[in-house]
Amino acid sequence: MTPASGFLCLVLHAHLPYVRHPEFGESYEERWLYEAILESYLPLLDTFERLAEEGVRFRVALSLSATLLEMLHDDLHRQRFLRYVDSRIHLAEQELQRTSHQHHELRPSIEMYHERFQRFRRLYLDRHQGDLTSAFGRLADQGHLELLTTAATHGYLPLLEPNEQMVRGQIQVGLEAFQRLTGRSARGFWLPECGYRRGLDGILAEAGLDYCILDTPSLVGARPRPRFAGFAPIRTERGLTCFGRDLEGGLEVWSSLGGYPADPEYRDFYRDIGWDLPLDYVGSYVHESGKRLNTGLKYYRITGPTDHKEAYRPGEAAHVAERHALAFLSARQRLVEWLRERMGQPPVVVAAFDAELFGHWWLEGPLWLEHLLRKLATQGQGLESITPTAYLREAPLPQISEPNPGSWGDGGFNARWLNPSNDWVYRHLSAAGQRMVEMARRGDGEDPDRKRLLNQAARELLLSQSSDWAYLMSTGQFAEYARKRTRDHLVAFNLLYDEFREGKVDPEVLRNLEERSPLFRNLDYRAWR
Amino acid sequence: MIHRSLNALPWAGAAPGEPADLPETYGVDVLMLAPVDPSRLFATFQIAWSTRNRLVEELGDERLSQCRMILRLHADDQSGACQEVDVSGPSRSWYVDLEITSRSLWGEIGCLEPEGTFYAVARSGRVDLPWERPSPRFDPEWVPVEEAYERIARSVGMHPETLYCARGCVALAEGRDQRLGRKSLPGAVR
Repeated sequence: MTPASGFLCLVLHAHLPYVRHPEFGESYEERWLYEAILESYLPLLDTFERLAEEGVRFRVALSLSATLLEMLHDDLHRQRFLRYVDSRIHLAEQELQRTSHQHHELRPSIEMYHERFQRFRRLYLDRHQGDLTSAFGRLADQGHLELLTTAATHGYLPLLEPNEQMVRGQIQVGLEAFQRLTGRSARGFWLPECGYRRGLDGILAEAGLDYCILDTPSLVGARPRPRFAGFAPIRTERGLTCFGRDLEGGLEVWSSLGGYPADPEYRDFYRDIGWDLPLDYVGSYVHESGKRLNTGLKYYRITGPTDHKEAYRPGEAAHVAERHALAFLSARQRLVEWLRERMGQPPVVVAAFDAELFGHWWLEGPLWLEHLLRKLATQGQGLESITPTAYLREAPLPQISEPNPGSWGDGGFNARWLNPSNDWVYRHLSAAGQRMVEMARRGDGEDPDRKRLLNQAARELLLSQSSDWAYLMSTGQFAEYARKRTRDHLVAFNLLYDEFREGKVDPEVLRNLEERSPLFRNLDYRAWR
Repeated sequence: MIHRSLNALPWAGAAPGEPADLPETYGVDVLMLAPVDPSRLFATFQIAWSTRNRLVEELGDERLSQCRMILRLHADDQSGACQEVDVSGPSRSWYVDLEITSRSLWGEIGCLEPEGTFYAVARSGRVDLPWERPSPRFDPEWVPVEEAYERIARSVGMHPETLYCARGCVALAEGRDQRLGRKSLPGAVR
């Protein structure tokens, strides 16, 4: 076998904030999970398993957040997910009937959805008995996937105060939940939003982590200036290796202007029958309140910058996905060849994306990925897929350098999570953080109820810190829900703090809070000392 | 130049979007600083009623009313650079365009009498700011491959030399945003 001229390191980050509302028959926000399972996680699993069964040599890193893992293991969500899939299948059947004598141009799409929903239901229930984590774990055991994780609730680490204790709590609880739910230890860490600030490297290295992923500007601005810009990892003095995302590849996939997912032939995400068809027809498939929502059935292609959309053609879109995979591969091969001549060692090109882009937003994304991995295995021409840990085993020791603080958000720094739409949260999060440290240092006095109270306070604090809430406030989408969740967890935290100060524990309040958020069962408040 | 936060409302009130049932203060004096980007800082503070009462006792109502509330930012290096920002008035959240260039600083907030006596009330922890541009310094054993940097700059439509100018890293991120088709942040502070 010829030595590799370079490496393509694909990293997918799967995360959703913790959402659980048994108090409602149905909640809008729980649909985030069900849509992601049906449209992204199952199609990705299906793709990886097919490639593995066919003996295709591929390697991908998959980050699974602790909140996502907790929800995937939750029986309430498993039941509700199945109910959701069944209703999608029923809706597709109803749509096949509705279009049996009209709108024939839409039938290929409807038939596609009908087939997919049934196939993914079988994959979920019959093949994996509702246990996606173990399915991904088996692919990791086979050497195809490397599983990594992130902060417990995806807290945006650069803005947490007091930073050291808050970050340590997020990391320790995240790693413990990952270990408990996947049965393996993570070597790598997905920094939420690729957010980095000085000092995080030491805390991550102390937690036994080997590497993290940063955005390109964090490596370009590192001190001293890295020899290879973003095309080889750097290592901090405290022993954490930092990989940089490839900007060019990111733009090809991520850009809403000219990125692959914007191709006119691809399925249009925004035209959904939940909005297009009469409410009395789709009412039972949107929300029990009758409010319009996406159903997941979308029959039109992007077409172009026009409101007039043409019918989606699954076959044509599949061809485009294959062409785009080849274009992406060719561009990475040319980049690697160009870099290799100048670097004197094989570069590593890191293509890191949100997993939910694939399938949910970009319907054809999993197919694109499948073509890419197949072509990489057979037509790589020296370009090989690799995971970060495998790369660290094979590559020379990285250069010592200190990354520049930054994120993958707008502006490259903290502005997406710190702007006038959401800055009020930091006053409260900071105060709660100080209080948590104060309580953790005072300890439980070996009183089991007090220990439960402290653990629940830490749980509420973690849940209030999710980067998702500040992000949603900033985008204006689900902003009210994001504010409510931040508020609810802070109110609960302050209630527990007051009880702690008064030396009492209200068992009913504590039990209600524990039941409201049954996650991180092994959480240990002493991480916040 | 100072930008008041849109959330800047009286101490006793909640900011827009801020749930009214969260505590108005937490009974302690706090100054929190956080970088927004390499040249902009967010500052939020709260002063306990007990501290305000103590100041009234020490200075008297009249003298206190003549004081200005001042945020002082100090370079955490040998330069001794300091930037003062008048944060008098009801606002407790501020966005500050930094004039000091140190990448590490700390702040204090307090009352400044007309004759110049400063009564510090709260101090922040140290805050580290991102560097604005790639480092001119490199390890002789790891001489940078300049063409790789040039390629990264060109990939977002930047002239490579712009990368090394003031705010080069910011320009790189902004170039990326443009290529991604991202719109400006709603209610952005700039």
